[in-house]
Amino acid sequence: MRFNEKELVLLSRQPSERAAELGMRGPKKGDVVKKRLVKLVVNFLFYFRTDEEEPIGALLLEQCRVEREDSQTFSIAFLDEAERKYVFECDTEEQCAEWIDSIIKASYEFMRKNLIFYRTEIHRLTGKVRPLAAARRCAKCHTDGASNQQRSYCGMVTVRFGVHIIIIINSRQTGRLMKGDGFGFARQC
Amino acid sequence: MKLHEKILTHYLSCTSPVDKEGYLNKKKKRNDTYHRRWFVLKANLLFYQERPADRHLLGVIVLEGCAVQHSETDGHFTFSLVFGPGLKTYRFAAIDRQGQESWVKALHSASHCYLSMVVKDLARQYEEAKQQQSLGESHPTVSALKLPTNSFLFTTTQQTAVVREGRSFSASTLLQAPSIPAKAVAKKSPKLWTRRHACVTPLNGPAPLYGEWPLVGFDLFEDFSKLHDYYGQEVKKVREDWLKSRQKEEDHTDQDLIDLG
Repeated sequence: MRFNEKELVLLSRQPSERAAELGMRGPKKGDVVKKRLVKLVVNFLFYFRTDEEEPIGALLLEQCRVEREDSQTFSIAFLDEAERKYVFECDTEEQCAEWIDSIIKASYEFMRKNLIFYRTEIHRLTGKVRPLAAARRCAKCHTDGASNQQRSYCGMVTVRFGVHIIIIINSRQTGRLMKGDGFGFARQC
Repeated sequence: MKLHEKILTHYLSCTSPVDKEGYLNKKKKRNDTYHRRWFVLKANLLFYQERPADRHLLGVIVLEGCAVQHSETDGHFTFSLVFGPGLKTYRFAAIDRQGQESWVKALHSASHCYLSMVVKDLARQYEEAKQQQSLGESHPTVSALKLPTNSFLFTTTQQTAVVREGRSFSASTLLQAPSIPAKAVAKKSPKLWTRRHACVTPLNGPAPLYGEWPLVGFDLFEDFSKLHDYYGQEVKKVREDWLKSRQKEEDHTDQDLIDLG
């Protein structure tokens, strides 16, 4: 299966809040614990040989089960195969707990559920159907953007190209955010 | 680098929602010809195969760090995914304008970064809305408000962190978004706002447009809770009475909402 490898490798080099050297063991029988630099970026878990620039591999953190194995060890199981799991050994109990927390929260599906939850609750608490219609400011750089009442977000990824793209969005039932009236326009940030 | 494909194909075939799927023409790099492919957008992943029924996936595009651009120079209804200098540009052509627009919209909001930002913002709005409610409410209803949160947490616990010999990490702390400390570090005393009595906005109404907020030295996101506190203190009593009468109406709907999951 083809994939955009170069771009994914670049993604693995982005700053991450959760990166550490952990003991990592593969799912197969006979796999031993190896020291790896494990890095969490968006919903991917990259793992590197220490001091190497390119990751050995990338694990997509969706539809997986994260469990605590003991006080300093956690595991991730994929494909509903409960016994085939990747095991990670941490240095402290606290570190272990933090990793588990971060991995669960990193999942796209988890964020989607949060989105639907917040929107439902905001509606229930304030009666607002479109909670995003409160202000007209870019949430990132605070510039006044939209000409209509919908909140605008800048597409953070596009700031790299030196152009601040302001996107006007509104919310839908699926939790997938779609564009509202008027697409968006490029402007110097 | 090894991308564990089985994990991706499993994710594609599982029951989580598909964000968009359909035929698109994908431009081949080498000979500039277009091939029709079936695309499936799920989360920040764009999968493609020859036909919808195919088991064999041709490829996947991870949608992080790319810009979606209209590119009319390529032809009709064309758009592209641009990763940047030295990196790939994927070019697509839709069948019609509607297809082009809907795919561009969907791809634009597909990235994890984008969703993360939006969720953070909604979390903040949720906290503000909760604060507004709890300021005027009597004790029993405050706890009633908390119940939906716990029900949702329970649902999450079931689906993600599984209890294993009682030592598993529970996901119950996950949705406790940090509450904005209403009284924390008051840089300005509320007395400074007395001059702005003329700007008192009715708390029960919709938030005024941004342009109407007192502008001098006021940052909407940082000082909102302080400003809100101040106005809240002023009209707290009136609000209490109003909410009491409304609460009687809403009690039965609250019951339904508590029964989440």
